[in-house]
Amino acid sequence: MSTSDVQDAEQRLEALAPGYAELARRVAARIARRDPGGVRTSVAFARVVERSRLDLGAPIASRLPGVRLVKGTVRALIRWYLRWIDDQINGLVRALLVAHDAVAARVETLEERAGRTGEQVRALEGRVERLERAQSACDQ
Amino acid sequence: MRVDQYLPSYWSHDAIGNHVRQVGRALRVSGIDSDIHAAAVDRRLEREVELWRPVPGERRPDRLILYHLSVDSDMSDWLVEEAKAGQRVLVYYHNITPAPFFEGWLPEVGGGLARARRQMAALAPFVELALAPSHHSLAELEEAGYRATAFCPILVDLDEYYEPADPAVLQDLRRRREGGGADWLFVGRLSPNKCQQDVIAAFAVYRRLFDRRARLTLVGGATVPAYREALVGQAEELEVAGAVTFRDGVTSRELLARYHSADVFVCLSEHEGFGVPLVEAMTVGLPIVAYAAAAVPETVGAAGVLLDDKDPVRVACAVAELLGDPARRRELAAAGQQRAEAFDLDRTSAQLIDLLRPVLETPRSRRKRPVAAPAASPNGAG
Repeated sequence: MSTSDVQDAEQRLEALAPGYAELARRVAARIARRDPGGVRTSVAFARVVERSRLDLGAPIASRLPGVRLVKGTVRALIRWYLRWIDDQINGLVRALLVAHDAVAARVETLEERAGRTGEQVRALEGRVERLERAQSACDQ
Repeated sequence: MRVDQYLPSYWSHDAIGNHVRQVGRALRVSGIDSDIHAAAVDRRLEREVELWRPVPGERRPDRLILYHLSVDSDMSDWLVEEAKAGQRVLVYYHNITPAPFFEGWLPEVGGGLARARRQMAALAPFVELALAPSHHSLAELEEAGYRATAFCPILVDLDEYYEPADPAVLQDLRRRREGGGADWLFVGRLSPNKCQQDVIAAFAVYRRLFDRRARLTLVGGATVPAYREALVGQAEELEVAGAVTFRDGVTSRELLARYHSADVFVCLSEHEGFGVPLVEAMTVGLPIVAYAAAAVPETVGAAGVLLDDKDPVRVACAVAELLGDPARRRELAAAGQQRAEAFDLDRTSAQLIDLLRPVLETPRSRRKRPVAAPAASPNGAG
């Protein structure tokens, strides 16, 4: 199908259902946008979780002979302790995220509904405007 | 000789689960012992697998681990430790969905997918050979540092699609068709990367422009419940809710009935590591209209209408043009069935065994050079 065929179809649709193609695009784009209104709070928290894991592989390189071995030994000896602390930090952050998510999900649902209602109102306003114009043309 | 398969989760009615089952069968038929180990398993499949625990595994020089990589898992970190201790590891890369698709919907899933990419890179130096079902995925493996890679098609039993469809569902769908109107179908989890919102938008425009009685069926469970709600809301807003059916938990025979009664398979996904439903559609001779993204073009080949733009008017016009041209439909259906032959189970099983046998027969210490990646996939795809 050529570009002109698609343009013809677009014009035909506009005549049949004014604004419908734009509405279809806008609603799909809203769903695809994934991150409306900047970074969502739940996204921000998820990033905190993602980055909260401590890196237990501290660098052990050294120019002094034997120091690398000492550093490596110390790292190996305290690894279990650091992992224990790391697990607790992660557990705490995850628990906070679960609590936060419950609130964020509610807020985001309300935002989504409000946005959808706004778009419906704008579409209705446009329709009323077109009807008014048509009416005044008839009156004249 | 044995090749044990490891995967984070093993589910029924799942492309990876079906592939793993077929790989196990192909290995055993070839005289290679094989078990499946999974960290999470569908209760119906418990008898087929051993539940994985992060404890040191059995290490034998004649044993390889084939890890199915698609999501984040502690299993991946465990494999690194196992490989360091001498375990030989292979990877089958099913692809990892890019995290940004989920960030706005389910941040924890987005975080998990980002972790999966890190784990994929961490595992790279320890893997003797990494396989993938598309050149799109092979490129990602190479980018992540995998030196030895090879194309290996996904194993799917297409013979199932020659079995009779569910008669009750088929009858019901045929009755629905009596009133006229085209049937659009898309099969795939309701997931942001599969972009079902674009299918609904194109379908809504198609109904207004070409066929007020057309119907759309979206088959697939919801990965993200909020995304499903958004799709339902979208259908309502575009005033096509009555014409859009969401189906989850369908049996194989019901799925078959839906493939057989549809007029067109519309895939506007932005990320597919392979796309098993595309092969299913081709097998039953259902023409495809698809957005040419990720691995979709190489899976479909010349057996579908590929679009480089998925504007709803453009997609609606492409579907209308195809459905209005019976000769083109027949041509695409025939090309699809021919393309699907490349995924014949005997053929793909033999390809897998041909790739694995040299690795199995060569002890690790003697494998000095990585296995070279074949240049092209069967049937010239890619």
